[in-house]
Amino acid sequence: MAEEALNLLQGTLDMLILKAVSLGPLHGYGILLRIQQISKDRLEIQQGSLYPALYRLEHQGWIASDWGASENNRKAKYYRLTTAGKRRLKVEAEKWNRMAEVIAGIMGTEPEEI
Amino acid sequence: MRVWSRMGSWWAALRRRPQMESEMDAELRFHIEAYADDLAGRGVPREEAMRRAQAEFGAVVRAREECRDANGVNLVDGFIQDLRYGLRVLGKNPGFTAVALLSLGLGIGANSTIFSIVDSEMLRPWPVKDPERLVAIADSDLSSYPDYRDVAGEIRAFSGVVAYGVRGGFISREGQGRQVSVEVVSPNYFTLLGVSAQRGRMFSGRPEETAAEGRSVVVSHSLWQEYFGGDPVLPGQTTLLDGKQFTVVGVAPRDFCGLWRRRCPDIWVTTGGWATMVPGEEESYVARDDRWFKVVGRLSPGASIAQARAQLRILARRLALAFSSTNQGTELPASPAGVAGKADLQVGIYLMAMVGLVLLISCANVANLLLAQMEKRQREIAMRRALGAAQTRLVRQLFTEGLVLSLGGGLLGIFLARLLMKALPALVPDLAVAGLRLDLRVLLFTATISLLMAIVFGQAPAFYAVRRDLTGILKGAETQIRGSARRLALRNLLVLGEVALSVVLLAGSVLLVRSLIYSQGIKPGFDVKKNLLMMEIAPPPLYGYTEAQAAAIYPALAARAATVPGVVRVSYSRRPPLAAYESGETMGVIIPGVESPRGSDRFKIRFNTVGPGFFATVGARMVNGREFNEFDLPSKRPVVIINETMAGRFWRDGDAVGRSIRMGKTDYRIVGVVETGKYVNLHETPQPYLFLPFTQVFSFECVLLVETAGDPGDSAPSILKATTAVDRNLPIVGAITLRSHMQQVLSQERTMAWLLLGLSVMGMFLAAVGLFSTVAYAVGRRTHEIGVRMALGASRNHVMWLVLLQGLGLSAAGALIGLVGAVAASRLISQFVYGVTARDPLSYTISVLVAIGVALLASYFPARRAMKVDPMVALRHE
Repeated sequence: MAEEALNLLQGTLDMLILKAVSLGPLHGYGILLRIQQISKDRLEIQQGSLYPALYRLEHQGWIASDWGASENNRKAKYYRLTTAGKRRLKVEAEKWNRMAEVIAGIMGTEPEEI
Repeated sequence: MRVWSRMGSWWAALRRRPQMESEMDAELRFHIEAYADDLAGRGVPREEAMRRAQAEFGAVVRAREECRDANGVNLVDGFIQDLRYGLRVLGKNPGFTAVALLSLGLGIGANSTIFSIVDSEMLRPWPVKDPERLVAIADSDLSSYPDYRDVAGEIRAFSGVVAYGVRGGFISREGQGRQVSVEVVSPNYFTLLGVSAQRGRMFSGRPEETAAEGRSVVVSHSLWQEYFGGDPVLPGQTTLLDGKQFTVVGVAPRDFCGLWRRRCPDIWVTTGGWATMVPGEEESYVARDDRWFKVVGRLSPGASIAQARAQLRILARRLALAFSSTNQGTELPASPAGVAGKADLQVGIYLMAMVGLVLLISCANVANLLLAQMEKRQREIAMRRALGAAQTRLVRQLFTEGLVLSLGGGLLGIFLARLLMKALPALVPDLAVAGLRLDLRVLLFTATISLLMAIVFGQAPAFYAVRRDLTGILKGAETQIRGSARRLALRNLLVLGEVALSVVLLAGSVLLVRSLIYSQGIKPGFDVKKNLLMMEIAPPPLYGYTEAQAAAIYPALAARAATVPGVVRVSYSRRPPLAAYESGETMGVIIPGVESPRGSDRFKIRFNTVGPGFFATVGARMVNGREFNEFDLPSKRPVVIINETMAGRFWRDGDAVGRSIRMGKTDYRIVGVVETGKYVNLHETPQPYLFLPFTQVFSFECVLLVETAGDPGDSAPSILKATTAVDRNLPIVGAITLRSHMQQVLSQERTMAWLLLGLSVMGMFLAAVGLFSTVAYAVGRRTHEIGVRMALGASRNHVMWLVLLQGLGLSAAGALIGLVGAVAASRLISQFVYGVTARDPLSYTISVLVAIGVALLASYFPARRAMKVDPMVALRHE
């Protein structure tokens, strides 16, 4: 039986986009593919919700965009991380790791430990 | 950084909108096509692939809308839409818009104007380099030149110290004379302050140029314009200052007025230059008790005012020990320079507080109008909500309307302030020197209050309008009676507040006007109604006269002036009557048989030197004895006239005439006692004063006093012709009628009274508008009720009174509250009023009556409309 795809936790899409873009400039579709690729298709991302997130991140100045040519030579909008975005990603990642640790700690608690 | 990227995308949303839209379109299309390509690559048929790609992506339209939300384009769109809609709404209600804008404009304009007055007189920093690093030493006092030298030499916390003092002088060029106010400054004055010339150059302060700069002057912008006709090549030319030749080296910047407020020096001379000018003037540079300089230091980099204070304290102590006779008790307190004195600040605070009341009134007025407007629009708003408009969207819409209104009011306010600033100096001459202008500070002030208004007026009605039950409003108005009654109560409260505030204003202005009337009625010891021309003569020694020749020229001038037709009487004196600029020179007087005050061997008594017939000419009453005549010659026994206060203080037992007093080494016999007058200002307490005869005690300074039968202004040219015939080189340097002189004496009081009267008229007018609109609105709402009343037999008069009483009730309640406020405000005003107490019942009664009268007038028009209601029409309307 194939593993069931997980729905994205609220508020984590922004962080994933920043991470994906941090590995190199990508267009929107490319970002989608890369997240799916890294997660080994275990994450389900609503395609329509990707673009509002991209626009929001750009509006906030964490990513910037330029038009360029895609793999099969078509015009596409490429996003890259800005300096502010790098800082932001670092902060988000730390926060996420702390949170994951805490939750894992809670979930892993055995009855005798209390 | 992030702020900029946001601004950037908003800007893009405004400017590059079509491009942005097509880019967004292209991007989403690329995504779908790329996905479809991938699917096709995995063997899905082309058409099927496209269909699946589109389906999985979801609705493109929605994605685009969400994108616009995400990058703030929708916000900009919404704002522009709101703006358009707001303007349309305002345009559709021209009456409301006009009254609201006018209210706001008046309130804001008045505030900007008063702020610019207060700013220019006490707040605006001096136009010098780093004014905050300047420290005034003994600011409330004057210092002597030797003390200045010690401060300059010894206080290490200062990188430099300047001294400046004001003297009077006369410039002339080709026989054309003019009295000028001379600022005598240390040579480093301009360099230390960091002020450079707009033309030519300033004093450099370099030691090697001290001699040359001693024969140089710098002139002010206004003297350059008015006296030198704005001559572009003036620097380098010579002019006569007190008869001596000086080179004009430069023209000061337009807004540089020295370190003073409210008065501007005309010309700057170095201390070295001035010392050589007037015989005997050197004396005033060595005597430690000749204090006529202001001293200002500039803190050295890194030094603090506390360090300067500590060093000054040590210096003051040392000087007090070394020069105990002059410097005992002389402290050298340091304070940040340029901070207005306490009395000035109080005037400023009072004016700002009062004009703040006007702003409050205009706010209440606009709030009132907006409430009425909301009432009318509630159906529209309910409809829009019912059709799905979000609450936040509506609030934003109403807020934008408030913004448009307030900014419009602000613009109108600036326009009105500009007009006022142009008109005020003509109406209130005292303000002409203040240099009112609409500069950045004033504009910033105006913008701030307009934005505050926007927040108030955007927010309040917005919240009120949205929190309503829709169906009721949409079904029909009458279900809302209870809510609207509450709103009517709110509106009544606003009007009440307006009346109350305008009563506070009115009470203040009535008090000031009463005080002004009192001051005008003060008997200054001479007849203020006399047709008197006062002409100041330049000191003759400056024009080559010996003392003996000069002593002869005054009687000669007086005699010649007396021959001019229309001249009744002529005399002369050292100082004109009530000379505000009198610096307080005193005579040391020993009175035989009267013990001297503690710590001194003599009484210090102020004096004037006057010619024969002086008292008759100015209209002062002799209480006893005689006045001076031509026979009081130097060869005769020295004589003196004293005032009643002095006579009463020293000779309680009886007549002072015939007694002797001693001044210097000379005994003077008292030949007359004259009524006590005012000598420096109108509000001084009676003080001892004495008069010496010009014929015996010579003075270089002289004012010719010419009494005429008709208007002295008319005779001035022929009198001037007669006097210049005596000596065409000796300039007459200033002529003024007694009437204008007296007006100048009262100018500050008059200015205050006029300004406040203007403000209270404005406040009253705004309150009347508010009252009118409220009462008119109430009448409109009660048309049906009035119709019923009339149908049931109420008379037209009865109906009219019904309405009038409503206005009367509101205004009477408001006036009572205002009265309480006025009493509370009387503490602020008490230091500006003379002759009436700040809680003068008459003033308060007058203001309450005026307020109620205006209120009745404002409700009269709606009352008449109510009276004309036709019951048939009113009832059929239902």
